[in-house]
Parts: sequence; C-alpha cells; structure tokens
Amino acid sequence: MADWSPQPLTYLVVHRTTYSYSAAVSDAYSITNLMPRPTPLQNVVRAEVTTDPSADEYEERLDSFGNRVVQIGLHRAHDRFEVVGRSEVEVLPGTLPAGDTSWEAVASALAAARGADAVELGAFLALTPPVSSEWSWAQLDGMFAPDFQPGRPLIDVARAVCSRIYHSFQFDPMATDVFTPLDDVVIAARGVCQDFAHLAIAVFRRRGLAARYVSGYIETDPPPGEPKSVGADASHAWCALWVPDFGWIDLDPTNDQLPANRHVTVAWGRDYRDVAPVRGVVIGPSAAQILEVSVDVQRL
Amino acid sequence: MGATPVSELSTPVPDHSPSADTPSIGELDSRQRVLDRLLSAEGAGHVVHDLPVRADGRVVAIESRPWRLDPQPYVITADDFAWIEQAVAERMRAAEAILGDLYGERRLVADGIIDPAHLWASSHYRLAATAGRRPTRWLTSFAVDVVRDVNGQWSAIADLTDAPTGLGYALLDRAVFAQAVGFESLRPRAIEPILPTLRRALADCSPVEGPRVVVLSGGIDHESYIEHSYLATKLGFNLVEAADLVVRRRSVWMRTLSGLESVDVIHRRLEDHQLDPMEINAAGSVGIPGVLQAAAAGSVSLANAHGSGAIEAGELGVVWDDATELLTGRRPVLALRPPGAALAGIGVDGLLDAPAERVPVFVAGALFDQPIVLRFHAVATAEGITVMAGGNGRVLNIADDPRIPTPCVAKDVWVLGSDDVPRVVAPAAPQVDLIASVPTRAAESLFWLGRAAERAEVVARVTRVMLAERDLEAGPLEALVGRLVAFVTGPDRNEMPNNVPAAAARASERCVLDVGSMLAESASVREFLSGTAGRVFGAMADVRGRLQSGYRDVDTFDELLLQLSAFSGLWSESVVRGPAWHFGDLGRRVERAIAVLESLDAVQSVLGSFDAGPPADQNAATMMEILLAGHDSLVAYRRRHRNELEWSQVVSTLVFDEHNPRAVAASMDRLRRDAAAIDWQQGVDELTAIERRWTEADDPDRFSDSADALRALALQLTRERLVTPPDPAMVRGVSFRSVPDG
Repeated sequence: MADWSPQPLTYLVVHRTTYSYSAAVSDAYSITNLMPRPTPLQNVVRAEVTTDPSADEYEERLDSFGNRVVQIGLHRAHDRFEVVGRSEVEVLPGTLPAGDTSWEAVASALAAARGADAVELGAFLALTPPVSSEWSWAQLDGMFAPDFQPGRPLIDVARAVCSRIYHSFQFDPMATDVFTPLDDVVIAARGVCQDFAHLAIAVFRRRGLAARYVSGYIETDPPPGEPKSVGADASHAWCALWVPDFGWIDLDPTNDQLPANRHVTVAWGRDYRDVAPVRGVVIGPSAAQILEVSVDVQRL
Repeated sequence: MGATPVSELSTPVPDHSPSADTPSIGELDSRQRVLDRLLSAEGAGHVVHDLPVRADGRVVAIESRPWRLDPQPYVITADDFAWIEQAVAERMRAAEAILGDLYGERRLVADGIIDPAHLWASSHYRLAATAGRRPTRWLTSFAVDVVRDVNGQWSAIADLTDAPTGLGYALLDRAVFAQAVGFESLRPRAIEPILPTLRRALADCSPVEGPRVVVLSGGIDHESYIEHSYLATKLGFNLVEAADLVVRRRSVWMRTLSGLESVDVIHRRLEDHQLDPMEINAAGSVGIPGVLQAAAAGSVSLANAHGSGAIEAGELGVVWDDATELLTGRRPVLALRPPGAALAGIGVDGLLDAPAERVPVFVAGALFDQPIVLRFHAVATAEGITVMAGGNGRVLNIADDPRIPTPCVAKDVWVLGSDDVPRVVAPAAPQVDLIASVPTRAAESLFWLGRAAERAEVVARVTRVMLAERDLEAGPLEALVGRLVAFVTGPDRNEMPNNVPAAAARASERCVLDVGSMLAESASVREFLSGTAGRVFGAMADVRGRLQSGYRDVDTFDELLLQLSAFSGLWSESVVRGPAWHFGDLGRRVERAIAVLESLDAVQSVLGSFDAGPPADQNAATMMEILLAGHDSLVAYRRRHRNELEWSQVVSTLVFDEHNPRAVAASMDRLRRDAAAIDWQQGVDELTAIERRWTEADDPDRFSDSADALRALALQLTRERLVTPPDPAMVRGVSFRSVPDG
C-alpha cells in the first residue's frame, strides 16, 4: 500500500457516547479512555472529556500503561448520560524499520530479555483470555504457518499476517460483540476491528513476539480519490508490533495497512479490556439501556 | 517458649481404643454429639440451602460450607511450634517482599525468575495495584497450609494471601471444643490473643489515629459468611457488605441510619476481583464502585491490599521460593511443595517426598487413619509478625488434592506450651459506638427478623391451640378454625383449609418460611444479638427441619413456641436499646398488631354464621376461646371478665386493653415509641390516625382496613428509612461498555 503522508496531519476528534435508560438510575460510575496519549509520532494539542449532565466527580490519572484515564462519578438521578471526548492531535508520518531481522531472532531476543526490556515488554507477551483460543490454536497455527517462514524478516511477517487477516476474514459488525471469544471469530471468519486486532495479537504472541492492542480513531473522510477507511465513524482498534532497535510499528489488519496511517492513537494495553473507551457501572432499577456512539474525525 | 513436657503426650490412658492415648469409642461418640450440636448452634454445622424469599421478595440463602469437628485435637509440641512459628513468619515476610516487587520494581521479571507472559496473563496480577499510592503493607493477615510427612518433615502446600479464611473458624472451633470436651490433662495455648493483635494490625494499616475499621463480607450468600460474622463480632467492628459502602470524593463511606460515616480500613473478606466492578478482570458488577480509586488516593486502606492474591496464582506459585531467595537472599525453611509443575488433582502423598502422616479420625463410630492438612495464621502489625499458636486442620481423603477445599472434618490444632508471652495491647477503646452507628442494611435485617419472629409465633400458637382442641376434628368448627389459620398464614385466602390436617400443613409451611427468614436475617446481624441467640437459632433450625419432614403435631409446634419465646426474651432482655433494636421492635410490633387484626377479621365473619341457641353459643364460645388462646390472651380476658365469652369483650381484650401486651393498643403504643425513638414523626402521626379508625365500631371492615393501613405503613418505613437496597426491584450494576466497532 502506497499510503505515505509526507506531512504531519492535524485531526479534530469528537467521540460521543450516549446512554439512555428506560427508568432513571441513581448513581453512575465510569472510567474512560478517551484522551489521546502523546507518542513519538503524535502530538496531542489538546484533549478533554465532558459529560452531560455534568459530573459530580472527575479524576484524571495515568494507568499502568501510561494511558490517560478519566474516572467520573454522577450521583444524581438521571435517565440519560452523555460522555464526550474532544481532542486535537497532530500525527506524524510513520516510518518503517530498516533492518531485516528475522522473526525468530526477535522471539529469541524477547525470551532472553532481562532488565528494563523484560519489564516493559512483558505485558505484551501475555496470552490473556481475549487473545487466546481454547480449541482453535491448531487451526490458527496452520492458517498462519505460511507467513512465518523460517528466517523471514519480521516486517515481512507482519505484513503477511495483516494481509491474511484482511483477506480471510469478513468485516461484519453484526457477527460479534465486545465479549465474543476469539474462537467464535475464527469459526465464523467474521468480525470487526477489535476482533482482527485480537487475532493478530494472538498470532504474534503465540510465536513469542511482543504485540499490543491499540485503541484510537481513523480519519472519517479520506482524501479525494481514496476509498473511505473501514472503521471510520466509530472508535477503531489495531495492533502494534515491537521491533528491536526501532520500537513499535502500528499495523491495521482491518484496513491491511502497515504502517497504519491516518490513525490517531488513544491508548494501548494487553487487549481490549485494558483500554475500553468507556466502561462503568450504574446503580438503579433494572432497566433497558440504549447505547449510541458517534465518532467524528476531521482533518484540519 | 513454654516447656510442657512432651511425655504428657504419651501418658497411657487405660482404654480399649486403638491407640493408648485415645479416649474410648463411647466417650468419643458422646463428645462428637455435643460438638455437632454446638456447631449447629453457631449456624455452622448444617447447610440451609432452601431459605425462603423475604417478605419483600428478596431471596436470601445461607450456604455455609458444612464441617464437622473431630472429637480429638491435633497436638503440636512446644518445640515443633517454635520452629513452625519462625517458618510461617518467614513465609509471610517472603510473600510481602514478592508482592512489593511484583507491583513495584519487578526485579523478579527483570532477573528472569518470573516469565512475564505468565505474570501479565494472570487474572490474579492486578494492574490497578501497580499505579497509585503504595499500601502501608500488602499483607495484614496471612495463612499457609502445611502437611507433615511420615518422617516429620513439614512442607507448605499453599500460601493464602488474598482474603485468607480460617482464622475465625479456628476460634469458633476452639470455643466449641473447649465447651464440649474441655482440656483434661493437656492444656493448649490460647489462640484468642490473636484477636487484639489483629485489631492492632488493622489499625496499623491506616495513618489515621483510631481509625474506623469495618469487616467487608460477601453477605449471607458467601460460603464463609459464618466466619465473617463471627470475626466481626469478636473484633468489635461493623460487619458490612458492598452495598453498605459507597465512594464519594475518593473516600469510602458507610451508609448508616444517621447518614454517611467515613471508613478508614476495610478488613476485606472478599477477593481481589470482587472489590471494585470498575476494574479490569472484575467479577461482574459485585463490589464497591470506585473503592480502588479511594485506596489509590490513600484515603482508605484495604487489608489485605488489593493485588495480594497474586501469591495465590497457581501458575506462578512454582517460582515463589526461588523468588524469595532472590529478594531476601535465603530460601524459606518451610519449602513450598510441589517445587515443580503443580499438577491439579494430585493426592496429598503425591505432593511430598514421603507419604503424608496419618491421624486418627472419628467417623461413624470408629477411628480411621487419614491424612490432614493444617492451616496456620499470621498477622502483621507495625511491631512484627505474630503466628497464632494453634489453628485448625482439614482431614483429607487419600485421593483429595489438599489444595482444593473440600467439605470436611476439621480438627482443632493444639499447641502445647506456656502462654507467658507478651500480649499485644489492642488500640484504644472502640472509636465507634456500634450501638448508635448502624449500617442501614443491618437495621433492615432486624426489621424483617422482628416481623418473621412475630408471624412465626402467632402461627405456631394458633396452630398449637387448634391441635390441642380435641373435639375439633370432624366437628362443625373444623372448617371455621381452618379459616382462622388461613387468615394468619395469609396471604392466600382463596384456598381455605377445611380440615385440621390441612390447616396444620399450611401452618407448618408458613412456620418453615418464617423461621427460615429468621435464620437468614439473624445471620447477617449476629453482632447485634446475644451470644445465646446462636443456640436458640440452632434449635430452631432443627425444629424447622422436623416441620419440613412432616412432623406437625402439638409437640413440634410447642417446641417451636418455646424457642420463639426464648428468642423474644433475648430480644427484650439482652439486646442493647439502640436504633437497631427499635427497628427490630417496629417489625415485631407491626406484625403482631396486623396478626391480631387479621384474626379478629376472620372470627368476626364466622360468628355471624351461627344460629341462635345453645349449640351455636357453644360453637361461638369455642371460636372465641381459640382466638384468645391463639393470641395468648385468655388470662387477660379472664382477669377482667368472669362471665361467658362475649364478642364485644373479646374485641376489647384484643384491641383496646393496653394492659394486655398482645392487644393492638399495646402494640400501637410500642410502635409510637419506637417511631419516636428513630425520629420518624410521620410514622407517629400515621399510627394515631390508624387508631382513630377503631372508634368507628360499626364498620365491619375496620379490622381488615386497619391491618391494611399498618401494612402500608410498614412498607413506607422500609421505603423511607431503609434505603439500602432502595427498592426490591433495584439492582446494582447494569454495567455498560462502549464498543469499538471499526
């Protein structure tokens, strides 16, 4: 994919999540991952989280991955609750690492890692439940075996995995939800960005590579002449792979992009559960809940 | 260490039992029966699975893990214990060091002792604990399960660090054992001194002077609830459930009848993943939303700290002794077995180098040699670690994996030696007046306990009177008495039992329901009740079982009445008069007034159906007599009226006679006082309004109307004053998530 943006691009993001309840609830607690974090390729010009009704309690902090978490408490009766994340982010073009280190060499280096590397990368080697399979490992191993040829450079492997997911799995928002296990995604060969990110992570970590789950956004309106990206108008998710002596490289299996471009990073973690955009608990009568999410990403 | 001669252990006892120092089978058998009875009285020895729904529709259930206490203790010499004490303290220090590292520097990862892929994949490793303020200490309480092999070698098989259970059970078992068996020639060291140590340790967790400490339980549904309530009572701290606590302004508060009260230390009996539904890897919506935010801010201390359960992660456990060596420079003398791969489901002998030792266990009238796993408890204060001089042991079957809890036979574990050790001074007097400071939920439980107790008593007495009336069966009154039973057993009046056995069956059902409610509600408010109440409840559980198995004779109802009377006595003579008591009393009095009004309503309509003439008069007199006796008011009637029974005078005795404690007027008087005591002016006014209606003597519906009005008032009380849970239909935690779907 010739998808290079030579210039930094600035995006305005508005991510609106609205909960409506059929009966008023008395108390709500939420944790949000809506404020983009700064990264080597990303300047966060400004970011804020607001709510309607206004929050009774508001706390900003960093989680164990350095993500910017906002915890909110609303302690009045309400039947509607809106959380809005607004940010302005300058994204620099990604680059590809120069070397051609084989994927096995990287896996061996990770297995032998000690000291700060072991501590910093450890979390991204873990086969947590969302990136594990109970009974499809053999199938997955077989499916991706051609991509992991002995001695193949890591970047080529990454590109191949990304591409295989893109071509073998159907994008289908109706097929899965946030709790769908990986096994079901494999069986149905369908899913959404979250599932494809989990799938890629599972395939990489299974072979001892460090991969992390990235939550963020992708540009809503593409430049003239280019197709609209899948996953626009919603929050997006992809995967980042660790490359020795380089750092992390973003790859987006949903759009078959490496490095991922026109992407705004919000937060990263081991899997979706670490970085869900909004999660929480309400206390009140057992009521129906309607959830509406809208995301708008505009290039300035 | 004291020096009780070891030879005492082998003092020969002239006996025919298998081993020389064992009491006779007969003696063991009688000990066993006393132990069973006493444990059951503590609510411990039996499982009550079928406790009913509460009157407000909330289901309550107690599922304690049942255990039996063996009639012979497991004895440890002073010398052995001196070694164990050091070894257990060492393991606790090691666990503390490991936790400090896992949530801090992570040298164990950096040096390759722990595979990071395993660590970060473990749900026991709590990421939230890596950020925020460090706890004063990770472990306040610690336990370790150990097994001794036939060569006398001790091995640890599991460290318990999350919310270690068993300390309360050990205390409970010891108390029961001491009462049932006594100590004869051997005297174990006391284990109760661990309580002031634990109290001190909990206070030490907080920077606050004289901190407010609560014991957080999972409630009566939790398998270790018996222990939670026992411990809270013994420690003198409020027993709370998650719904009793709320986080505001990054602090934790307890909901009480007088508003929110700040909480400084939570002695949590819930596991890491049950603490805060906001966290990753939380168990659904249980817990206190935001509590970890408060802990991270340092405004509340969790004991043990959130994340302590990491030590219990089976997949990581294999490296703990290596980790200890790295962090402290020394391997623990009490080694963790198995050192290699921890196979699940392996029998105890397979875990050790040599077979596990066998101990005599009394089963069904005979002694069997079985393996045993012992649990030792340690508590850390600012001064250091104290290991409890005793504990309890869990008898295993040969094939049992000792790391998996099983319904079991327990053994009291005795440590010989002297108690001449410096006692820990507990922190200054209770900083909280537990009488005035009542969790809202506790008040609610007492209210329903009062209602259930009174209803059970009315039903039992009416039924007892009915069953004692010899000429009733197959007579003209049989169906009419059935109607009375139907009215007091309510609420279904369409299905009237028309004979005595059917009425007794219905009464029995109702008693089973209400006694079940009493058992469930009382379990959650043990700390308010006299210690003797446990014995009464144990006996009630027995009678309830008999009713369930179809015993519906006079004697059974009579026995139930006796126990209910015993409970009433304790309620009025042994419970401190505070807001909690007034709520319980409100429940009791409102139920009594309602029951009397319902009975009057039932009999009033019946009397009109009798024709004039002597047999009819006789029938009416019998009905009225049953009515009065059913409400324990025959004496009150006879005291004032020497003539034949007359309806107007019966009504006067049951409604207006303030000197008759069963009369509605007396109940109303108490209700008004209780309502005033809890500052419920609206209730006082409403009671007066209800009473005014009785003067309209011609109104045939006055009894049922008044009963309805009182029911509505009771509902209003629960809605306005007992707002946790706010409403039966209220649920916690419709949890929500937004979805990335790109």
